[in-house]
Order: sequence, then C-alpha cells, then structure tokens
Amino acid sequence: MKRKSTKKKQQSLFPSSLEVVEEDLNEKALNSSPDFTMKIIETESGQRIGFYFLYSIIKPQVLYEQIISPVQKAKKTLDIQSIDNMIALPNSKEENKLDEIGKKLLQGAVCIYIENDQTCLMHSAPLQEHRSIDRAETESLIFGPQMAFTGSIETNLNMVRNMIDTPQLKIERFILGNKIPNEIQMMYMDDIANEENINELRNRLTSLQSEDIMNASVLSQKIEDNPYSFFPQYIVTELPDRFTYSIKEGKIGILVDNSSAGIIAPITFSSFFESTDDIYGRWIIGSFTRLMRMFAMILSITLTPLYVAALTFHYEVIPEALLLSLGESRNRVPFPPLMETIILETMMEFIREAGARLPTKVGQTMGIVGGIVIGQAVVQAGFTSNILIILVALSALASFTTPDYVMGTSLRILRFPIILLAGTFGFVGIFFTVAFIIIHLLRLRSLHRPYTAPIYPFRFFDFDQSQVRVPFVLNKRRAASHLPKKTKRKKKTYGHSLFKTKGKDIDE
Amino acid sequence: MKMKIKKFFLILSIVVLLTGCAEERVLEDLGIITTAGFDKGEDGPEVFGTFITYKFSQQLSNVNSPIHSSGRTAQDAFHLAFAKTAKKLVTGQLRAVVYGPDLAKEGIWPHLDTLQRNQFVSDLVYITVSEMPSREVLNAQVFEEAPNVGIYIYRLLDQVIGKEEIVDSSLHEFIKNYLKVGVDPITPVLSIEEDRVIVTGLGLFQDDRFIDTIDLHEAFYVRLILDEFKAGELQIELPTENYRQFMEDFEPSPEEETFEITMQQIKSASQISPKDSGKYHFSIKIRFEGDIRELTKELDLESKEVIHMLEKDMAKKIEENISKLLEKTQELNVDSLGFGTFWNAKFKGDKKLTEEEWRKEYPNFQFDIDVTTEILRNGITQ
Repeated sequence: MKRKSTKKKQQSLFPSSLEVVEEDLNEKALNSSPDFTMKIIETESGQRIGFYFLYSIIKPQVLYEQIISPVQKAKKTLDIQSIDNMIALPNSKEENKLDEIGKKLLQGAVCIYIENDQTCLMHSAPLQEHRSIDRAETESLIFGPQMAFTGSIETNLNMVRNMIDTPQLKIERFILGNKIPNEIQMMYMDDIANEENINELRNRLTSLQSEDIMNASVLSQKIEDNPYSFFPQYIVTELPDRFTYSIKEGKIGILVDNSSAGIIAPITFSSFFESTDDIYGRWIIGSFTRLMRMFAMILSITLTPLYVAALTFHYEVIPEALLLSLGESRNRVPFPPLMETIILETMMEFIREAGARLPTKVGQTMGIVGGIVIGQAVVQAGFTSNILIILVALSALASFTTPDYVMGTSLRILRFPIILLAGTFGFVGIFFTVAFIIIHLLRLRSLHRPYTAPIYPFRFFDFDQSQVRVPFVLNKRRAASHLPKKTKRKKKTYGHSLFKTKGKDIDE
Repeated sequence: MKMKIKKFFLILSIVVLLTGCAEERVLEDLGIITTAGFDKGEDGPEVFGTFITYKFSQQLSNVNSPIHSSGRTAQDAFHLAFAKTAKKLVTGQLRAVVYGPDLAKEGIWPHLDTLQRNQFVSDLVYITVSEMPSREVLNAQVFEEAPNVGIYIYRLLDQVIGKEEIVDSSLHEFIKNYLKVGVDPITPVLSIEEDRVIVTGLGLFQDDRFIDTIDLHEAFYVRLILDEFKAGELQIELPTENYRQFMEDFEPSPEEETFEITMQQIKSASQISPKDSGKYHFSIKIRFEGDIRELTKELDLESKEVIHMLEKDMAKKIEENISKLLEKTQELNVDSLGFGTFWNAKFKGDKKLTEEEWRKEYPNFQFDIDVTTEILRNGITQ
C-alpha cells in the first residue's frame, strides 16, 4: 500500500517548477548526491529550461556544446520535440517517472525539462574514465599484438569488431546484477558456434541471480559447471587476439563492462596450455612449446612428491649415481623429507606472493633476497638439502610456463595435497592423488562439454590444434570437440597447390 | 552435500589412521647394503657375512669399513648384523653378492633362495664367486671414484660385461640356469690384487656347486659360442713359420716361433644345431669377422694370400681353443654352455634329456666345430 502511494506521488511530479523538480530528483531519486547539479536557462521567449545532471559522470564538452548552447541560442518558443531536434546526439528519450530519471542520471544522462511541462527529455553524455589500451600484464606474448582489453566495454567491443569485421559476429546484450546493474555482451560466430552451447550460456546468464557482477573473473566463477572444482572451467583472458581467435574457432566470448578481460567458453583442459604465440610462431616452435608445457605441468605436480616418497619409503628406486649425493645432502637435515619439502615449498609460495603484492621495483629485490640469499643460507644452515632446492625451483619454474595464471596457480596449490600423501603413503599416495585428479578432470565439464577432450572422449583429429600445432596446410578442419556447425574451414588460399605460378628452378 | 562432507571426513580419518601402517625408511637413517659377501664360518654350519654399506659423509666415504657378522644362515647373518650398526640395514640397493670359495663349493642354492624370496632384492643383482674368502675381497681399500667397494664391484662387473668379455651373471640368470635341465650356471670370479678387486675369469658351476675357474681368454670363447658379438676383441697366437716369406723385414730373420695377432670390432654369429646320430652330436658353426688391430710382426697385408692364410690359421686356432674349452667342461662334467638345452629345444618325447641322462651323457657329447673367419679391414694405420 505504501509503495503504491509513493508511486502515485512520483507520477504527479510533473508539471511543476524547476526548483521543485531539482529537490524531488535529488532527494527522492538520487539520495542527496553532492555532485547533482542544475543549470537554468531563460530563452528569449521567456521560457525557463532546466538541465539536471551529475557533473562527475558527464562529459562537460558535450554538455555545453551539444546540449546547452543550441538551446540557449533558440529564439522561438520551445517544446520537448523541438529541443530534441536541436540536439544532434543520438539516443534521446522522453521520461516522466522519477525512478527512471534517477537511474538514467546515474548512468551519465542529462535531464532537460521545460518548466511546467508534462515530461522531460533525457540525453546521455556519459564520461567514462578508463585506462587507454595497454600492454597485457598477466599474459605476455612474444610475437602477437601485445595490447590488452581495457575497462570499457565500448573500447573492448571496438577491438573485437575490428578484428572480426563480418556480420556473422553476433552480439547479444544483457544487463545483469539486481542491485548494481552491469552490461554484459555475449558474442559468437553465428554460422559456426554450436547452438546448444549458445542456448546453455544464454540460459545461465539470464537466470543468474546476483546482486552485482564485479568483473569477468567473478562472472566466470558464477556460471561455472562445478564451482567446487580446483580447476577454472572458463578461460578469462585479457588478450583481444586470443578472444577473437577462440570466437573464430566456434567458441563463445563474453565481455563485461568495467572489466579488462573477456571470458571464453566452452574450453578444454589443454587450452590452458595454449598461447596465441604458438600460432604466430612457426608450427614446429608451437608444437614443441605446447608439448613442453604439458610436460612441465606434469613435472611441476609430481617432482617434489616423488622426492618425498622416494626418500621416505622407496630408497630402492633411487639410481645408484644419485644415491650418494642425495644421502650426503640429506644427512645434515634435521627434518623428515615431508617437513623439509613443505617448508621449502611454502617458502617458495611466500616469495611468489610477496613478489606479486609488492611494487614492481621492490619486488625484484624481493626475488633476489628470497631466492638467492635465503636459498643459499637455507642449504648452508643444513635446513634443507640442496637437491630439494633444485627440485622445488624447477617445479616452480615449470608451473610458471602455464600461459594461464589461474590454472598455473591451481596446479601449484594442487602440489601440496600430493606432497602430504606422498609423505604418508609413498608412491601409493601419489598414485592415489593423481588418479583422484584424473577422475575429477574426466568428470569435469565446461558448458556441458567434456573438459579433457580430445584425450577423452578421444578425437584424433583434434590433436592437431590442441596438444600440437600442425602447419596450416594440414589444418583443414575445426576442432570437433565443441561441435561447431561447420567443421571444414572454407577452402581458401592455404597451401601450395593454390599458388598458381610455379616459380623458376633454384639454379635457373 | 552432507553426504559429501561425511565421505570427505571418512577418507580423511582413514588417511590419518592408516599413516602408522606404512613403514618409513628415511634415506639417511638407512645402512644401504651395496654388496654382501658370504663365507663359510669357522665352525660347523655357520655362515660368515660381510656387508658393505653407503656412508653419507664426505669425510668417511674413502674409508672402507665393512660390517661383519655370522649366523646359521645367510639371512641369520644379515639379521644379526642389525646389532652392529646404528643404521637400519636394508637390501633394496644390493648390487652384487660375493660367495667365498668354501661356501660356493658346498652349493649356494640355499643362500640364493633367500635372496630370491626377498622382494627388495632386484633380480639383476650380480652373483659372483671369489678366489679367496669374500671378506678379504670386500676389504679392498682401493675403489677409485666409487663411494664404496660394493659400488666399485658393481661398476667393474658392469664394465666387464658391457665390454662383452664375459657373459651376464645376474641372480635371474643364475637361478634360471640352475633350475633348467641342460645348462649349468656361470659366474664371474673375483679376486684381489694390490688392494683392488679384479675379475680373473669365469667360475663353472655344477648345479649350485662351484667346480673350477676358466681364465678370461677362455671366457671369450664361451661368449663366442653363446652370444653374438657386436664389438669384441680377441688375441691369437699364430706360428711364424708359414709367414716367414711374407715378413717385410727379412733381415734379420725373426727368431720367435710365434707372433700375436689382435682382432677388434669383432662381429660374430654362432649357430648350434644338435644332430641325432645315435650319439649326442652337435655342430657349432661360428662366423667371425673383424679388423686387425695389432700384429707383433710386420706382414705384407696388401697381399690377398696373406689375408687368406691369416683367416684360415685363425679359424683353425679358434677351433682348437674351443675344443680345448669343451673338453675341459666335459672332464669336469659341467655343461656351462647349455648344450643340453639346445638338445632339448630340438627333440621331443623320449629323445629329450632328463636331468640324470644329461649329467651322465654330457662327457660323451660330440662336437663338430666349424669356424669361418673374415678379415674386413687390415687396420687403420696412422
């Protein structure tokens, strides 16, 4: 009942004087904002026209040149329609509800009201302060365009549009967030992307009940298949070229306003170990680095647990050549191998975290102090064996080869339970945990698509663009794992058969 | 969700409770035995054990201090050694076992059986016999860069077997040969010279009893008959007489009656085919090729005649040496080369040799030896 009465009151806002409107707007719709401003202009015909806006989110130049000054110069009697005609800006709207006006004002609109009129005119001239297009910080590249997404969805869309300039790029717009609405754009290639995937993602987005969407990383976690999992199920990238590449391959991209990253879905486990560098570089480099990253991933998970297990339980598997040096360096260590390893691994994480949190300049010093000084001193003090230092450093290094930082961190943390079980059960513990992880990975899905494709379900022809990177001549179809509408790529000028001229012989 | 939490705690509690069950063997607390030696004890059925362990300290690693203990059996000796060191003795890195001659002559099967039943002992452990009591061999003080004598012996055997001088003698091989009808085991024989362990030849076994030794020259022929050579070396003595006309230095005429020729890069293939001619008859065909490495007399190697003569003479000499070796084994009645198995592989039913028949008949086996030699290159001269 109470709500209804206030609504009635609101609707009776107009017509009234400019000052009353100002008071109503500021107190009822904007919760008394200090940056709320009113500008009154009297035209030659004696009309009083009010401009209401929040000066902190209005582009002043647009306001004065495009909105206020045309109205000021007008000679005849004005009404809403004629004012709208004078202003060259697009997207105007007539509005008479207090709530709506307030909402629009908060998004950077100007409200134009002629005293004692029935409605007011809304024109938007929002000021969005964002960083300019910068170098990618978390995902560095060697070859590719090194720019990253910015905080503005317009700029980001601009980049994507420039990279995929065909009408097949379909963009759907959503406003999410019950309390603080945010704009979200879902984009895909209309003729390639799988219909089921699109519907599924659209359903998840529209049915998402959330107060607000902070940014892409948060959104990606809110629409995951298994929120309890260790592993990320969408790739959140800040590289527009990676984003568009995935869209061109038939995946779906999501851009979030005020977020300098895009979400790619659905993805597979192996795509976390791919980088656009593999595509820009030659195929042999790409294949080698991809296989190397996979190898590094396995190494980073199992190296220190193997050390713990071998030294605690399975001395018989240690090669004869290593046994003496291992024994000698372990001889001075007062802790059992499990403790020793956990201490050193934790130290490694300290160094990493400290380096990440500190300002860049101090961070480098941190690395030297942490890595070299402490590392050296720890061995000399007989706290840990120097072979373990090598292994821990090696596995940390290996985990940093993962191009996706989130995945790299997940894998690094995964090491701790494996170490614990290796220290209590030996190899059995390692196999148990690794089997557990593999089972989990096999059950995991990204947008209802298998996470471990193309290994399971096995799709031989998808290996050419996941685990290895074949030359483009041989890469004739899109990955079937995500069921694109068209698997065959258009017959374009790939390959030598299409080069019409043969060229001369070398010695001619 | 509640079920999941319950399950999680169930697994967690199993982890925590079962932790006590796994026996911890932390590396630096272990006395890791690399080589064990067993001898006959002073009185009665006692076994005297010598154990070489790792020392994880740079100051101590150059001093050889074996652990000695005696017990009623090998296992007992090992067990009683627990009281003689502060470290936990383990056998998981055992590389070689040395049996003293006295013990080996009585038969080593009971001791091998213990090794075989121990799941920590690898099947690839080298089984060896020593010329003197094994405690003396294992007391050697020179062991090059190896951390201890045990590893030194392991590397020595690895090197010698890798160089194709003698046949493989792992625990697995020994047990296989022991249990199989028609073949007797062979092992390397270790000795000590100037405080270092050396390999002197091959020990011939009859069943599990050590019978006699053959030297390294003879060992070459064992290998030649049994295995294919891919890279070996052979030295043969030939009479000077026939070659006198080809000797490049006519004056003064060589006085020695024989000269030495060394072949290297030997590739060989042998074929043993049993023939049933009322007797146990075997034809041994060996193809043998290599390069000349060394000649103690200068010969005109350009001439084909010389090469042919050399090939012929060498083949004859090899045949002689092989038949000498076979005669020796027949005298001792040890079928170390396993002719019995070749027979049994070919013939079925009644013709198959039983263990008794084989033992009885082996001295009467007949061998046709046919060696063809080829000199591929007459040497690279600098």
